[in-house]
Amino acid sequence: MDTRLYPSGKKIIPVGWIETTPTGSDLIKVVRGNSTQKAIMLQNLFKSFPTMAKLPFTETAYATTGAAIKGVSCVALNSLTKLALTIAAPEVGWLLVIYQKDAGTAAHTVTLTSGTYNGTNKIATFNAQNKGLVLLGVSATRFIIVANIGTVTFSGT
Amino acid sequence: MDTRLYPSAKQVVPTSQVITVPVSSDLIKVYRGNSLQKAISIANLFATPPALTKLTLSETTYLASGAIAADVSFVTLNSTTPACAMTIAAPAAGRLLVIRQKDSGTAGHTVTLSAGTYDGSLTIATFNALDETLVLFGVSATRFLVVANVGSVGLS
Repeated sequence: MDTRLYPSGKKIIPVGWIETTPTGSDLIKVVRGNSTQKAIMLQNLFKSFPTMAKLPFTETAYATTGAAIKGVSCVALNSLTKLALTIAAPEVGWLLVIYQKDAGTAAHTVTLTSGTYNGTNKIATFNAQNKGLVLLGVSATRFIIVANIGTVTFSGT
Repeated sequence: MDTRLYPSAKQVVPTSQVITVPVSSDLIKVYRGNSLQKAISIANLFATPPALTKLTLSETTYLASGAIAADVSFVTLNSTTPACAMTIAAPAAGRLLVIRQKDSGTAGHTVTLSAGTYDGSLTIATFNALDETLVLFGVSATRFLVVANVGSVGLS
Protein backbone atom coordinates (compact mmCIF):
# COMPACT_ATOMS: atom_id res chain seq x y z
CA MET A 1 0.00 0.00 0.00
CA ASP A 2 1.35 3.40 -0.95
CA THR A 3 0.23 6.03 1.55
CA ARG A 4 2.06 9.01 0.14
CA LEU A 5 0.08 12.20 -0.24
CA TYR A 6 -1.45 12.76 -3.64
CA PRO A 7 -1.39 14.43 -6.05
CA SER A 8 2.27 15.20 -5.39
CA GLY A 9 3.10 11.74 -4.12
CA LYS A 10 6.26 13.02 -2.49
CA LYS A 11 5.39 12.99 1.20
CA ILE A 12 3.66 10.70 3.63
CA ILE A 13 3.01 13.26 6.35
CA PRO A 14 2.14 16.89 5.65
CA VAL A 15 5.04 19.05 6.80
CA GLY A 16 2.68 21.04 9.02
CA TRP A 17 2.03 17.96 11.11
CA ILE A 18 5.67 17.33 12.01
CA GLU A 19 6.38 18.47 15.55
CA THR A 20 9.72 19.56 16.90
CA THR A 21 8.81 19.55 20.60
CA PRO A 22 7.09 16.49 22.07
CA THR A 23 4.83 16.47 25.09
CA GLY A 24 4.66 13.64 27.58
CA SER A 25 1.09 12.81 26.67
CA ASP A 26 1.77 12.49 22.94
CA LEU A 27 0.78 9.02 21.76
CA ILE A 28 3.00 6.87 19.59
CA LYS A 29 1.42 4.07 17.65
CA VAL A 30 3.09 0.73 18.21
CA VAL A 31 2.47 -2.70 16.77
CA ARG A 32 2.71 -5.58 19.23
CA GLY A 33 3.87 -8.93 17.95
CA ASN A 34 3.46 -7.53 14.45
CA SER A 35 -0.22 -8.34 14.79
CA THR A 36 -1.96 -5.85 17.09
CA GLN A 37 -2.08 -2.08 16.87
CA LYS A 38 -1.56 -0.21 20.14
CA ALA A 39 -0.42 3.21 21.28
CA ILE A 40 1.67 4.44 24.18
CA MET A 41 2.28 7.86 25.69
CA LEU A 42 5.79 9.19 25.38
CA GLN A 43 5.98 9.59 29.15
CA ASN A 44 5.19 5.90 29.61
CA LEU A 45 7.62 4.85 26.90
CA PHE A 46 10.42 6.69 28.66
CA LYS A 47 9.30 5.55 32.09
CA SER A 48 10.04 1.92 31.41
CA PHE A 49 12.10 1.66 28.27
CA PRO A 50 14.48 -1.20 27.47
CA THR A 51 18.10 -1.07 28.49
CA MET A 52 20.11 1.42 26.50
CA ALA A 53 23.31 0.23 24.90
CA LYS A 54 24.58 3.79 24.70
CA LEU A 55 23.62 7.11 26.22
CA PRO A 56 24.96 9.78 23.88
CA PHE A 57 24.78 13.52 24.45
CA THR A 58 24.95 16.37 22.01
CA GLU A 59 27.74 18.76 22.90
CA THR A 60 26.79 22.42 22.85
CA ALA A 61 29.81 24.67 22.51
CA TYR A 62 29.83 28.24 23.75
CA ALA A 63 32.42 30.55 22.26
CA THR A 64 30.92 33.97 22.89
CA THR A 65 30.76 35.76 26.20
CA GLY A 66 27.38 36.74 27.57
CA ALA A 67 25.52 33.67 26.39
CA ALA A 68 22.93 31.97 28.58
CA ILE A 69 23.12 28.22 29.06
CA LYS A 70 19.72 26.56 28.98
CA GLY A 71 18.07 23.42 27.68
CA VAL A 72 21.23 21.37 27.22
CA SER A 73 23.13 18.67 29.12
CA CYS A 74 26.66 18.83 27.74
CA VAL A 75 28.30 22.24 27.60
CA ALA A 76 31.76 22.96 26.19
CA LEU A 77 33.39 26.30 26.96
CA ASN A 78 35.59 27.02 23.99
CA SER A 79 37.36 30.34 23.75
CA LEU A 80 40.92 31.41 24.39
CA THR A 81 39.54 34.72 25.58
CA LYS A 82 37.53 34.83 28.77
CA LEU A 83 33.88 33.78 28.66
CA ALA A 84 31.38 35.10 31.18
CA LEU A 85 28.27 32.99 30.82
CA THR A 86 25.07 32.71 32.78
CA ILE A 87 23.01 29.66 33.43
CA ALA A 88 19.34 29.29 34.25
CA ALA A 89 18.24 28.17 37.70
CA PRO A 90 18.57 24.46 38.52
CA GLU A 91 15.69 22.12 37.62
CA VAL A 92 14.82 18.91 39.43
CA GLY A 93 16.49 15.98 37.68
CA TRP A 94 18.53 18.05 35.22
CA LEU A 95 21.86 16.38 34.46
CA LEU A 96 24.40 18.95 33.30
CA VAL A 97 28.05 18.60 32.36
CA ILE A 98 30.15 21.75 31.85
CA TYR A 99 33.77 21.50 30.78
CA GLN A 100 36.50 23.71 29.37
CA LYS A 101 37.39 22.62 25.86
CA ASP A 102 40.00 25.23 25.01
CA ALA A 103 43.54 25.27 26.36
CA GLY A 104 43.44 28.83 27.66
CA THR A 105 43.83 30.15 31.17
CA ALA A 106 41.51 33.13 30.87
CA ALA A 107 39.24 31.81 33.64
CA HIS A 108 35.78 31.37 32.19
CA THR A 109 32.93 32.00 34.61
CA VAL A 110 29.50 30.39 34.64
CA THR A 111 27.10 32.24 36.92
CA LEU A 112 23.76 30.90 38.11
CA THR A 113 20.96 33.42 37.70
CA SER A 114 19.38 31.95 40.83
CA GLY A 115 20.09 29.07 43.16
CA THR A 116 23.50 27.62 43.97
CA TYR A 117 25.91 24.93 42.89
CA ASN A 118 26.67 23.72 46.39
CA GLY A 119 24.29 25.39 48.82
CA THR A 120 26.33 28.58 48.96
CA ASN A 121 28.05 29.66 45.73
CA LYS A 122 26.72 30.67 42.34
CA ILE A 123 29.86 31.29 40.28
CA ALA A 124 32.00 28.48 38.85
CA THR A 125 35.40 29.32 37.36
CA PHE A 126 37.22 27.18 34.79
CA ASN A 127 40.82 28.07 33.99
CA ALA A 128 42.36 25.02 32.36
CA GLN A 129 41.55 22.56 29.64
CA ASN A 130 39.32 19.65 30.66
CA LYS A 131 38.30 21.08 33.98
CA GLY A 132 34.74 19.90 34.33
CA LEU A 133 31.66 19.82 36.50
CA VAL A 134 29.01 17.11 36.53
CA LEU A 135 25.87 18.55 38.12
CA LEU A 136 22.44 17.22 38.99
CA GLY A 137 19.56 19.54 39.78
CA VAL A 138 17.76 18.49 42.95
CA SER A 139 15.45 21.49 43.31
CA ALA A 140 14.71 24.81 41.65
CA THR A 141 17.43 26.41 43.75
CA ARG A 142 20.08 23.74 44.13
CA PHE A 143 22.45 21.59 42.12
CA ILE A 144 24.52 18.87 43.68
CA ILE A 145 28.06 18.40 42.44
CA VAL A 146 28.38 14.83 41.22
CA ALA A 147 31.98 15.38 40.16
CA ASN A 148 34.44 18.24 40.10
CA ILE A 149 37.27 17.37 37.74
CA GLY A 150 40.47 19.40 37.88
CA THR A 151 39.27 21.59 40.74
CA VAL A 152 36.78 23.99 39.26
CA THR A 153 36.52 26.76 41.85
CA PHE A 154 33.37 28.29 43.33
CA SER A 155 32.72 31.79 44.57
CA GLY A 156 29.98 34.38 44.89
CA THR A 157 26.89 34.17 47.03
CA MET B 1 -7.36 14.87 6.74
CA ASP B 2 -9.20 14.24 10.00
CA THR B 3 -8.41 10.81 11.36
CA ARG B 4 -10.46 10.95 14.54
CA LEU B 5 -12.80 8.10 15.26
CA TYR B 6 -16.40 8.60 14.21
CA PRO B 7 -19.15 8.88 15.26
CA SER B 8 -17.68 10.13 18.59
CA ALA B 9 -14.95 12.19 16.90
CA LYS B 10 -13.24 12.53 20.26
CA GLN B 11 -10.33 10.15 19.96
CA VAL B 12 -7.82 9.10 17.35
CA VAL B 13 -6.79 5.97 19.25
CA PRO B 14 -9.41 4.02 21.23
CA THR B 15 -8.55 4.18 24.93
CA SER B 16 -8.53 0.41 25.16
CA GLN B 17 -5.61 0.29 22.75
CA VAL B 18 -3.41 2.61 24.81
CA ILE B 19 -0.82 0.58 26.69
CA THR B 20 1.24 1.84 29.61
CA VAL B 21 4.11 -0.64 29.59
CA PRO B 22 6.05 -1.24 26.40
CA VAL B 23 7.83 -4.45 25.50
CA SER B 24 11.12 -4.46 23.66
CA SER B 25 9.70 -6.12 20.58
CA ASP B 26 6.93 -3.56 20.07
CA LEU B 27 7.31 -1.92 16.68
CA ILE B 28 7.08 1.81 16.13
CA LYS B 29 6.29 3.21 12.72
CA VAL B 30 8.79 5.72 11.43
CA TYR B 31 8.84 7.71 8.22
CA ARG B 32 12.27 8.11 6.68
CA GLY B 33 12.72 11.30 4.75
CA ASN B 34 8.94 11.68 4.97
CA SER B 35 8.74 9.49 1.92
CA LEU B 36 9.28 5.94 3.09
CA GLN B 37 7.44 3.96 5.77
CA LYS B 38 9.56 1.86 8.08
CA ALA B 39 9.27 0.36 11.54
CA ILE B 40 11.75 -0.14 14.34
CA SER B 41 11.52 -2.18 17.50
CA ILE B 42 11.68 -0.29 20.77
CA ALA B 43 14.73 -2.36 21.70
CA ASN B 44 16.58 -1.13 18.62
CA LEU B 45 15.41 2.44 18.98
CA PHE B 46 16.95 2.60 22.43
CA ALA B 47 19.99 0.58 21.47
CA THR B 48 21.13 3.32 19.13
CA PRO B 49 19.25 6.47 20.05
CA PRO B 50 20.09 9.86 18.62
CA ALA B 51 22.19 12.09 20.85
CA LEU B 52 20.24 13.78 23.62
CA THR B 53 20.40 17.52 23.93
CA LYS B 54 19.07 17.50 27.46
CA LEU B 55 18.52 14.71 29.98
CA THR B 56 16.13 15.20 32.86
CA LEU B 57 15.29 12.49 35.39
CA SER B 58 11.85 12.27 36.94
CA GLU B 59 11.82 12.61 40.71
CA THR B 60 10.11 9.88 42.73
CA THR B 61 9.39 10.97 46.30
CA TYR B 62 8.91 8.66 49.27
CA LEU B 63 7.17 10.03 52.35
CA ALA B 64 7.14 6.90 54.50
CA SER B 65 8.97 3.64 55.03
CA GLY B 66 8.71 1.03 52.30
CA ALA B 67 10.40 -0.34 49.21
CA ILE B 68 12.01 1.79 46.53
CA ALA B 69 10.71 0.78 43.11
CA ALA B 70 13.04 -1.00 40.76
CA ASP B 71 12.20 1.26 37.82
CA VAL B 72 13.19 4.66 39.16
CA SER B 73 16.47 6.56 38.94
CA PHE B 74 15.97 9.68 41.03
CA VAL B 75 14.65 9.07 44.53
CA THR B 76 13.96 11.66 47.19
CA LEU B 77 13.20 10.89 50.83
CA ASN B 78 10.89 13.48 52.32
CA SER B 79 9.79 13.02 55.92
CA THR B 80 10.97 15.34 58.65
CA THR B 81 9.83 12.78 61.16
CA PRO B 82 9.62 9.86 61.54
CA ALA B 83 12.63 8.50 59.72
CA CYS B 84 11.99 6.50 56.56
CA ALA B 85 13.27 2.92 56.65
CA MET B 86 13.51 2.02 52.99
CA THR B 87 14.59 -1.11 51.23
CA ILE B 88 15.98 -1.33 47.75
CA ALA B 89 16.36 -4.21 45.34
CA ALA B 90 19.75 -5.62 44.50
CA PRO B 91 21.94 -3.59 42.15
CA ALA B 92 21.48 -4.10 38.42
CA ALA B 93 24.29 -3.63 35.94
CA GLY B 94 23.97 -0.23 34.31
CA ARG B 95 21.39 1.24 36.67
CA LEU B 96 21.94 4.89 37.48
CA LEU B 97 20.38 5.73 40.83
CA VAL B 98 20.35 8.97 42.79
CA ILE B 99 19.00 9.05 46.35
CA ARG B 100 18.60 12.40 48.12
CA GLN B 101 17.16 13.62 51.42
CA LYS B 102 14.67 16.36 50.59
CA ASP B 103 13.44 17.23 54.07
CA SER B 104 15.35 19.21 56.68
CA GLY B 105 15.04 16.61 59.42
CA THR B 106 17.75 14.77 61.26
CA ALA B 107 15.81 11.59 61.91
CA GLY B 108 18.23 9.42 59.95
CA HIS B 109 16.54 7.80 56.95
CA THR B 110 17.94 4.41 56.07
CA VAL B 111 18.06 2.71 52.68
CA THR B 112 18.95 -0.97 52.95
CA LEU B 113 19.98 -3.13 50.03
CA SER B 114 18.13 -6.44 49.94
CA ALA B 115 21.17 -8.00 48.30
CA GLY B 116 24.60 -6.82 47.24
CA THR B 117 26.49 -3.81 48.57
CA TYR B 118 27.03 -0.13 47.98
CA ASP B 119 30.78 -0.26 48.14
CA GLY B 120 31.90 -3.87 48.34
CA SER B 121 31.02 -4.42 51.97
CA LEU B 122 28.22 -2.18 53.30
CA THR B 123 24.47 -2.48 52.78
CA ILE B 124 22.85 0.38 54.70
CA ALA B 125 22.94 4.05 53.73
CA THR B 126 21.86 6.65 56.30
CA PHE B 127 20.75 10.16 55.38
CA ASN B 128 20.37 12.67 58.21
CA ALA B 129 20.48 16.15 56.66
CA LEU B 130 18.95 18.13 53.84
CA ASP B 131 20.55 17.46 50.44
CA GLU B 132 22.66 14.53 51.57
CA THR B 133 22.79 12.55 48.36
CA LEU B 134 24.21 9.35 46.93
CA VAL B 135 24.84 8.95 43.21
CA LEU B 136 25.16 5.24 42.43
CA PHE B 137 25.92 3.21 39.34
CA GLY B 138 25.21 -0.52 39.27
CA VAL B 139 28.06 -2.59 37.91
CA SER B 140 26.72 -6.06 38.69
CA ALA B 141 23.85 -7.82 40.44
CA THR B 142 25.71 -7.49 43.71
CA ARG B 143 27.54 -4.20 43.52
CA PHE B 144 26.95 -0.48 43.13
CA LEU B 145 29.72 2.04 42.65
CA VAL B 146 29.41 5.20 44.72
CA VAL B 147 29.90 7.87 42.06
CA ALA B 148 29.36 10.69 44.53
CA ASN B 149 28.57 10.96 48.21
CA VAL B 150 27.34 14.48 48.83
CA GLY B 151 27.22 15.64 52.45
CA SER B 152 28.61 12.48 54.02
CA VAL B 153 25.85 9.92 53.72
CA GLY B 154 26.73 7.27 56.28
CA LEU B 155 27.37 3.72 55.09
CA SER B 156 27.23 0.79 57.49
